[in-house]
Parts: sequence; C-alpha cells; structure tokens
Amino acid sequence: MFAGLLYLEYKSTVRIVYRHRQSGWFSFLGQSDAAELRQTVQTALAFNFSSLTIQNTSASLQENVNSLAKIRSEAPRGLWGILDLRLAKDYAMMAQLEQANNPVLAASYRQLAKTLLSSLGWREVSDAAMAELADKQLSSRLKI
Amino acid sequence: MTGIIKGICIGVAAIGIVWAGILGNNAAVRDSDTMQSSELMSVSMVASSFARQQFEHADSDHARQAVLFQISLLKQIERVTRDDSHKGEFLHAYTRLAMIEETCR
Repeated sequence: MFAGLLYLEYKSTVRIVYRHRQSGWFSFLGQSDAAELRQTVQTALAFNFSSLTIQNTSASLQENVNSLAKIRSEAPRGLWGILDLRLAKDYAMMAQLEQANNPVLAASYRQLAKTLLSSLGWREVSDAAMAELADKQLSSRLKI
Repeated sequence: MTGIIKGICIGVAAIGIVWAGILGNNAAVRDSDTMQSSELMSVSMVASSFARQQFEHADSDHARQAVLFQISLLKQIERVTRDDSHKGEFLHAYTRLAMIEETCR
C-alpha cells in the first residue's frame, strides 16, 4: 500500500511539475509572444497527430475533417492556411473515394476543396488538378 | 523498542516520500525539455511543408505570406533554442522568398 502511495505521489509530481514548466515554455520571449508560440506549437502537434491517423476511407477522412475544424477553432490565425490546406486535401480525397458511388456528393466535396484552395491562392483548381492531388494523397502513406 | 521501530518506519516513509518527489520532479523536467524540442521541431516541419507547397502551387502573394510566416516562426524558434541548427531551413526560405520577389518584378 505504501509503495502504491509513493507511486501516486510520483505520478502527481510529474503531472504538476510538467504542467508548471509547460506553462512557462518560451517565457523569455515575453508574455504575449510566448503564449502565442505555445499555442502555435500545440496546434501544430495536434495537427500532426490528426494527420497521422488518416486512412483512405471516407469515414476516417470525415473524422479528420471534424477534428481539424475543432483544432482550427482554437488555432492562432497564422496556422489557418496550413489547416485549410489539409482540409482541402481531405475533401479532394473524399471526392475521389465517393466518385463511383455518389457522384453528387463527390462533386460537393470537390467544390469544397476548390474553394479552400482558391482561398489559399492556388493557381490550378480544375477537376483534373483535384483528381491528381487526391490520387497523390491517397497513394501516400504519410498525409502531409 | 516499539518507539524505535515506529521511528524507523516514519524515517523510511519520509525518505520514500522525498525520493518519489525528487524522481517525479526529474522525470517531469526531462519530459518537458524533450516535449518542448519535439514540438518546436514539429511546428517547424509543418510551416516548412506548407511554405513549400504554397511556393509550388499558389500565387505570389499567398506564397510570400507562407514563406514569411515560416521565417518568422524560424526566428522565434532560433531565439528559443539558441542554436543555429535551422540554417538550412532559413536558406530554403530566403531562396524561395527571393524567387517570389524575382517573379513579381
């Protein structure tokens, strides 16, 4: 029992000290810059974890889209473009996967991808370009 | 005799509590430092990948914006890590920026 209590104390100390240190990361940059950088790195980490779990199925992609929407709602403005690009790629893949079974749904996903890419200034947002982007993403194990 | 045993038990318990606290503190410091550097690496990779893709596919304004964001992030990371291990990334970013400006002329 005593060993169990010591273990609990160990775990609580780790948690408390870690949280305390994490809240002070980058503090010498100044309060505002440090808070912004902390927010940025945590968003990027969440984004990376989210991207790592993507599989080539509509359900997985839809889940990632939902997860990205949540991440985006808390993300610093500077990262919105990065998240939008990932979203666009997910929609392009969803369009490609749905093309055979549900062309109407596929067209709506493709349109969402085009809108996002246009807002990012992409020069080529034709159907062919979307299909190429989707194929590249679908054939790549690591979705980046 | 019972008093001595009690004293020993209390002493052992106190040593155990202090020891667990010290171990916990050391583990948290180590984890925090590791996480801080891996999160910085992660954000740097994300920004670099975005800047590259924007440079390849987007118009000059958006590409410039992405590269400038990457550069400002790299500067902050360099200040935090206090090393020059990001020289290569700076080189890529400034080269891209120069090419964008060249195209705009």
